[in-house]
Amino acid sequence: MNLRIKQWSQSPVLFLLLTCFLFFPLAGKLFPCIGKAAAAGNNGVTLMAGETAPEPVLARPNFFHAVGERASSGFMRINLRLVIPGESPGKKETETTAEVFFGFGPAELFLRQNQPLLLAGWVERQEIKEGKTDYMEDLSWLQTAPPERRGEKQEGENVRERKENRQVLRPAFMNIKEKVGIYAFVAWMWLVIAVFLYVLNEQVKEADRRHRYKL
Amino acid sequence: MRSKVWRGRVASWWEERLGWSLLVNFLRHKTVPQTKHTIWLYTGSLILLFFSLQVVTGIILALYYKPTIAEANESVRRIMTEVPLGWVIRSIHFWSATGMIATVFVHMISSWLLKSYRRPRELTWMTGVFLLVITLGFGFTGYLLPWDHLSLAATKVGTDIPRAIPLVGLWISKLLRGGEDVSGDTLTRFYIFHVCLLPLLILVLVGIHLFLVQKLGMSHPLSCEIKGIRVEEVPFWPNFVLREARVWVVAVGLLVTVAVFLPRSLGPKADLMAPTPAGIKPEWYFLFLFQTLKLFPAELLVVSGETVAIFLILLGLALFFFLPLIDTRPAARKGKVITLVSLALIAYAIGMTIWSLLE
Repeated sequence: MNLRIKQWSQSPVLFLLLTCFLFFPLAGKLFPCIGKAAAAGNNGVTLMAGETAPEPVLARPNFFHAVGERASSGFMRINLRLVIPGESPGKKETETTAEVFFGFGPAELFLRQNQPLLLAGWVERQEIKEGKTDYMEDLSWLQTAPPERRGEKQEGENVRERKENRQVLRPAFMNIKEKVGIYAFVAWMWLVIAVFLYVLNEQVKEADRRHRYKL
Repeated sequence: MRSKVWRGRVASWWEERLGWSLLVNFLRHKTVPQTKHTIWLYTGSLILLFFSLQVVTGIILALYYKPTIAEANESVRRIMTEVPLGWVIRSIHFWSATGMIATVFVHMISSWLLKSYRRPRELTWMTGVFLLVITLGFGFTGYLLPWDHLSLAATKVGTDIPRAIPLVGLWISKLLRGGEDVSGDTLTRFYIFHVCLLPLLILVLVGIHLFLVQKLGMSHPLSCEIKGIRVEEVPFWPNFVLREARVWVVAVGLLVTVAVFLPRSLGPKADLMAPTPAGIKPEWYFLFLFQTLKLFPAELLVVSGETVAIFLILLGLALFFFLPLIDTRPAARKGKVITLVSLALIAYAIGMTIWSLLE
């Protein structure tokens, strides 16, 4: 993956701004960059311990409303574990997790084990820099605490299932036998259609002739 | 010789119980005008063909589909990966729906331009408008069933739009969603709408529509009536049916080929907590309405822009529905204004769709 991690902020200022954002949904509109920051945590990726994000979560422009609404009306939990590839080839991947709670106010925003916001980074795709996609920047809450381990075998199966669920499934032939079978069927079908059309044309001519001569 | 005797006995057995010779005689004596516009008459039976294919493929899909938020996406995924030829069946279902909606549009537009709705075919037109709405309803409800993130987002937007209607809007939105927001209840409701309610409605309305078509016959082109040209008629059976059969076999061939080579994919499982993805768009047949809604500003004087847009769309639909009661000229008068308005609206819809696709 062509990813680039850039240390952006470990600043308490960010934490305060995030708090503002959650407290006042409108703040997300006033500070779009903070909106994007929050978006990273709520991007449809709800991963459990032991899972790996297939690719960086991406911010969406209309996130503000969604988070603002939920933050003021209910309770939401996001459990993230992201694998961040190294900045340069050969550098080891970094695994991080974060668990964030949104509640009725800023006081309910906390990270697991009450740890402060440890790291926030802009994650960009190479394609974004090259202008090939319209994806927005992504900012993640990351936490260095190890993931929970529960029933690893079962978890592994769940992880595989969830990974499958997050991917776009493009249908394809199951095997070469099915492929050949379907191609042969389509070819045979068009042959039959050609014969049918010929027969039907003849039938139409005959029917018209009988109608014309009132037979 | 013996087989002839048996065939005669079987035929008389059925005749005694069903009296089907009445139907056979009716079809033998029914005639269809044979003009340069006859090609548009084929669209009616083509819609029925697509609908039949959807019923068959829909029943097969329903054997495996599970309408719960936990299992909907997985069950569709299973259909596409584990059920033998499941992805082809799903793809045929999708493309036949697309074909049906496209053909319904063509059918309505051709009837509109040929002024086939005029006296005495007003009710035929009105049932046709109902059938158009129901067909779009099929598309809208069916879109959510795979429960992927795009379908969820589109449903959120789609079920939010009625809220702009004063007084009843909120109630309609809640009725569709089964609550304040899109949830598992929405999926269950859409499934019930898709496989129970809408099929029942469409069967009743298709029955009425076909009865009216058979009772009143096909309309003759206005140009022939004005010029006093005698329109040649051909028997419905077998002449017209054989002509239609040529269209059916080609349509089925194209449908299967498109379904195999352009199969419908399945998006990631929907997450109710996720925000709406950027650049969300509805299916192509709603694009012109979607783009129209986007044209309106948030506020128009003291009224919400969305409310004004919805009002105008509903007004347009009402005018479309009552068109036969508005255009009550004698059959010989062509009604150029109606033609120009219809052409302008068709151009508008196509333009808006293209604009939305390019955005």
